[in-house]
Amino acid sequence: MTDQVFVIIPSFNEGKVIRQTIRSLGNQYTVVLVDDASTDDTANAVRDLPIYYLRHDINLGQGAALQTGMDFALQQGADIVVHFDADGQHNPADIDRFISVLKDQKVDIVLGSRFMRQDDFLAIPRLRRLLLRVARIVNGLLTGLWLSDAHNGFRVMNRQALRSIQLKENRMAHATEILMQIRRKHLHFIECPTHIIYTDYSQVKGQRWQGAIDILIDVFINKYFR
Amino acid sequence: MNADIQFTFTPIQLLLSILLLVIAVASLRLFRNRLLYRLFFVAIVLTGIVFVSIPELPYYIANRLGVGRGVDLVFYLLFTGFLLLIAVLYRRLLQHDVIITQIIRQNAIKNYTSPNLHNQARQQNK
Repeated sequence: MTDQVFVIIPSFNEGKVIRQTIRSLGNQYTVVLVDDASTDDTANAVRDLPIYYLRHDINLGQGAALQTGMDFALQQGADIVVHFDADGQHNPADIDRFISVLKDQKVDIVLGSRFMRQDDFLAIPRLRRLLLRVARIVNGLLTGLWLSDAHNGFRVMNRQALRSIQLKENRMAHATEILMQIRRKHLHFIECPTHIIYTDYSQVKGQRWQGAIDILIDVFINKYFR
Repeated sequence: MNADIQFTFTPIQLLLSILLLVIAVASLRLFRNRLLYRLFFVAIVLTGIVFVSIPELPYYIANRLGVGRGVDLVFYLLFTGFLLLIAVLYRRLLQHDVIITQIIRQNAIKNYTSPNLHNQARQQNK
């Protein structure tokens, strides 16, 4: 029996590129688009595409959108779930490669890394590279997991990980929260090289350094005050 | 403490006391089913009324505590209370965030749309 692979795409105001991103995935996966209360024409852009379309009534953040997608995928009987960015940064060809690693290595979750191949990390803009290196250390100190990359949104997980992970961080701090939960719930994981395409569009839409400080505060609040 | 403390109310003392009493009554109505909040608020208001009525009292307490001026004591108490209030309210806000997220999520999952998906899946299975 073939695995039911669900690709979850959280999206907020990505109406310009979302159609192209979804079409680049082909027809072999079940796509779940979680529209995080976009105010642009996202809904119209994907109306005729063969996907599941879920919409948050108010904007909650990427972490919340991912969790909504994961809850839905679990309910629909997904065997494997892929986290995929809406802005076209991720490479669809990586999905099958990551799924193979997931199965061959018998792990619960495969995390994408931009720091395992020289070509990949040279493609990262210089300032972001620096930020990611700092974030990696912060992540390591907070979670005890010393990965080569931080805040890489490309992940592939099996059903066990899907059941175990429950994101409470609604916004961007979910990336650190996932690592915390991997450790706490004793999930087996592995990093795998991935190439991120930094277009002008994705860079404008992407996180800024101020966002990194917000993420750090969110992580601290969630860890110590909830 | 001096034995000759005057309990006669000046107009401003009277006004402040009435204002604090009104706030106390309003807060009792506001914090329905929250005994701890009510007691906390009433305690603050009563302390306020006592301090307004007997201005020498905060000075006396401050002296005994080694704070210095009575105004400083009131300021420290207010500052601490203010921070506590922010923490309590923020926690409450986080709880509301969780509830709102759950509602929005359930709603999104319940109302999903899947144009053409089932047809395509059926074709692939053939």
